[in-house]
Amino acid sequence: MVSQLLPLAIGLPLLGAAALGLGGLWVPTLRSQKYLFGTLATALVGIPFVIFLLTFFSYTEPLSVQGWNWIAIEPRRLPLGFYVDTLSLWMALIVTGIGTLIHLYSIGYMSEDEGAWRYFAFLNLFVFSMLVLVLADSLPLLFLGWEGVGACSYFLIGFWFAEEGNAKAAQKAFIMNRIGDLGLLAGMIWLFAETGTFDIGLLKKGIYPAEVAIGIGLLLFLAATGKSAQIPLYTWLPDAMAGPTPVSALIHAATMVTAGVYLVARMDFLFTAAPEVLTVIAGIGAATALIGGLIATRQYDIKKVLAYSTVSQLGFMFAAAGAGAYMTAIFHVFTHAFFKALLFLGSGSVIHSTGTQDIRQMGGLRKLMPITGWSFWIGTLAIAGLPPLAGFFSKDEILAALYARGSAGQTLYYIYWTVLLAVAFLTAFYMGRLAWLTFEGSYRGSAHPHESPAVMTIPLIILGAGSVSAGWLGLPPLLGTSWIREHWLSQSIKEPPLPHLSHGTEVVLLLLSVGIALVGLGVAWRLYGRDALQADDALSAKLGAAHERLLYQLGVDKLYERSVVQVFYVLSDFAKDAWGAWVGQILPRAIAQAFAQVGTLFTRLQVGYLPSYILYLAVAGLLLLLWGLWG
Amino acid sequence: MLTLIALGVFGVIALVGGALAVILRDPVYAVLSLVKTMLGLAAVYFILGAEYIGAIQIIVYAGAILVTFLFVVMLVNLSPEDIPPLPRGIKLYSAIALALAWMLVLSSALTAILDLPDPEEVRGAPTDQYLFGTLPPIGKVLFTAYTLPFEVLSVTLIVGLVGASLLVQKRSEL
Amino acid sequence: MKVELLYAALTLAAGLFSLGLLGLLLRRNLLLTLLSIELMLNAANLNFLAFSRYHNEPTGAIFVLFGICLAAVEAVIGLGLIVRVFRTHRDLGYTNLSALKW
Repeated sequence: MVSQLLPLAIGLPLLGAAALGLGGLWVPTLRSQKYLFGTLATALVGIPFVIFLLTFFSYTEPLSVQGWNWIAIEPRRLPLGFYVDTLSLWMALIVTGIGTLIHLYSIGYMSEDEGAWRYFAFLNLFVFSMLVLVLADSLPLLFLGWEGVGACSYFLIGFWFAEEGNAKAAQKAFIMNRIGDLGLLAGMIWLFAETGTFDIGLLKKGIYPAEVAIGIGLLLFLAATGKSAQIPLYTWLPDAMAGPTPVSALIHAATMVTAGVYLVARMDFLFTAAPEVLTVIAGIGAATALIGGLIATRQYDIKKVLAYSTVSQLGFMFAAAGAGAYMTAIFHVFTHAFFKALLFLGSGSVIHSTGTQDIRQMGGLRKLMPITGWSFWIGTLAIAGLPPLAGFFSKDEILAALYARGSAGQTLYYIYWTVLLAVAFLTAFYMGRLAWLTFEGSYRGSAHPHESPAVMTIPLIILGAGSVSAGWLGLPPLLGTSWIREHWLSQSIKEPPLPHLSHGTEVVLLLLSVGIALVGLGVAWRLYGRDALQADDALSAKLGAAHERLLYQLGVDKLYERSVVQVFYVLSDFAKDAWGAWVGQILPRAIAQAFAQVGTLFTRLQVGYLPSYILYLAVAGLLLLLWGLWG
Repeated sequence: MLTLIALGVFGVIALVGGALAVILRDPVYAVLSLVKTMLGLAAVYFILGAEYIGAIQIIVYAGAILVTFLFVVMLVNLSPEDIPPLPRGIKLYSAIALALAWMLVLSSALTAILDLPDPEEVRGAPTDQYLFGTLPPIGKVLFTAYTLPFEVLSVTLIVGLVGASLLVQKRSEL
Repeated sequence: MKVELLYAALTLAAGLFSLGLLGLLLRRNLLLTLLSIELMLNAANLNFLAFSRYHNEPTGAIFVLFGICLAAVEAVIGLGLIVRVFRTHRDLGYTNLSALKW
């Protein structure tokens, strides 16, 4: 039964995108129907969620649905196929579940916007693309979804395209993604050259020599860095905050950016065959987490703080994947989706009612917007890793995995573990700073903040509940069994064996995780408990130059601009001037002249004097004869 | 052996006539030299055994075509003064060179023929006798295998006749 | 027929052809040029006949017959044209007959 509903689940958002988009395009009068587009879009994502939920409850074994042949060059064929196993189903649930909540929220958030019809069409299209990505059974189809989410990201970041900055941010995101996509394409084709198939199920059974696995692994990871904002392709994510906040919540927190992590988990067999690549992945993950965390501590734009936080948390996920703990990474994807979406939607609520994104203009909002305030605090505590909220369990598992990998003889992972421990501290710190500066104390701004309508607060409440409880699906060995690990994801993901940590070590690590979270929050409280803004300014003064550098995001953008972008400007100037002149003017004229001269030459042959013609005949005849005899 | 000598003699006659036709300034003499060449060639044809064709050569070529040439010479009142002399110098030498080159090329094409096997070996039939020298065999082939070209040829002759008469009409009443 | 005979005949034809070519290149009068062409045609005829004799095939002989007839037609038409040209230009030399040029 479910197999028949699957195409419906995937197709409904596509249908929604088409209907809403074309309807709004061709029938302009519909656009003013405030709640029509939003409600329709939400339903067309909600129904797939229900379908996936039913699939989940009735799940017994992986489901494969194959359809029409996308590419058919006999004897090779590539059918469009979807593969529902525990991993892809879980991702689909996250996408449609959180997606539905965000659609609902958007009804309220975008109610005053004239372009709401476009917005919902794109949002539906995004959900469709993401579903294609996670449910694809072959790499090209996955790539289709991969590109699709990239394109929707472009549309949605640049939603208010009249502002040049927004358009540029969208462009930046897309181009950086594209660079990564090269990696996916190259890796995919190399894989095909090695094995002769694109089907993931068949690829799983392959045996890959070390060099091949390393090469392909690095290429695929390049794609992941682009999509999931890791070093070096991460600078697009903070800029992507130019889009509407629900977009930031859905795409740049809960779903699209996790596609990279999904890719690694999906191709677990490949990465396990290339341990060197795993080390690189973990290293980059740790480094990115550190940079993201550091920059987040000094930002004044509420969305930028959350953006860098996302970059940092994604680093956590890749660090886990790099330790071989793919399931742990997906677990963190799961918990992170809840509290990050919550935090973003909360920030959206705040932005909606105060009209600004600068936290220095806020303060005391919890009393003015209680639901937003309390749910935001829950999100903050969750991301900080305070038990028993969600973030604690997944983060603790990541740290434990890194430590275990370190104890297995790869001491590099000990370093990663230390770095991530520090980042956990930073996370708690900067989130505490954000929460205190925004919601506590007294209001510093000039607007009249009020609580948002129910359409927006209900998703906050639901996400809050999730942020509290989501972690309980993955209890550490000390406290019980991890359902998500033992009974669910392990059916689809195979991790390289990790050494067992002794009971004592486990206790220590657990306490460390809790401790770090408490310390971070404690420091934040100590600093920002009262007079938050003043304390922050004092901190900036104390940090001095470091504050400046962090505030300006370590100048990475400038670096890229100078090195990469400038090169392209030089090349295009050269193309326009030198090359353009050459190809456009000089070369055509030279060719034309050459032809004219040859033509003049030939006209001289036509003299009208018969003996000349006879001579030509005789000579040519001789030559022809010679050629015929000895040609 | 005898045939070879005979062929040589009449061949030389033909060649001399041809040379004179090319060199002589008086047009009448030039045409008459060519007549000599035709007659020499007709003799060669006879030596080769193609009696009928030799006869045709004499009647048609020497007797009709070249006579027509003479008629035109008379008509136009062409005298030796009207004919410019042969060019000297570079033009002459280059023309001789070109003609010699052609001669060489054509001859060397012939050396390849020496590699051909004797027809006796190929066919195993007596080949001293040329089968198509007289009229009956030619006539038989002409009216069976080559009927179509034969008919087309007659049409061509009529066309030539009509065309020529049209060309020389005094007044343009076309 | 022995090969030497064939060889001799073919050489003769080649020689006649070259002489005709020489005349074609050197003569500066329309009528005499036409004469040289007739010489070349005869050389070709000899060629055909020689091979026809050698292989005892009728094709060559038929070719010669047709060749002679066509040479007749061609000569007649050519001469007619020459007469025409003479009537218009009063001259059969090449220097003045060069209207077909660029």
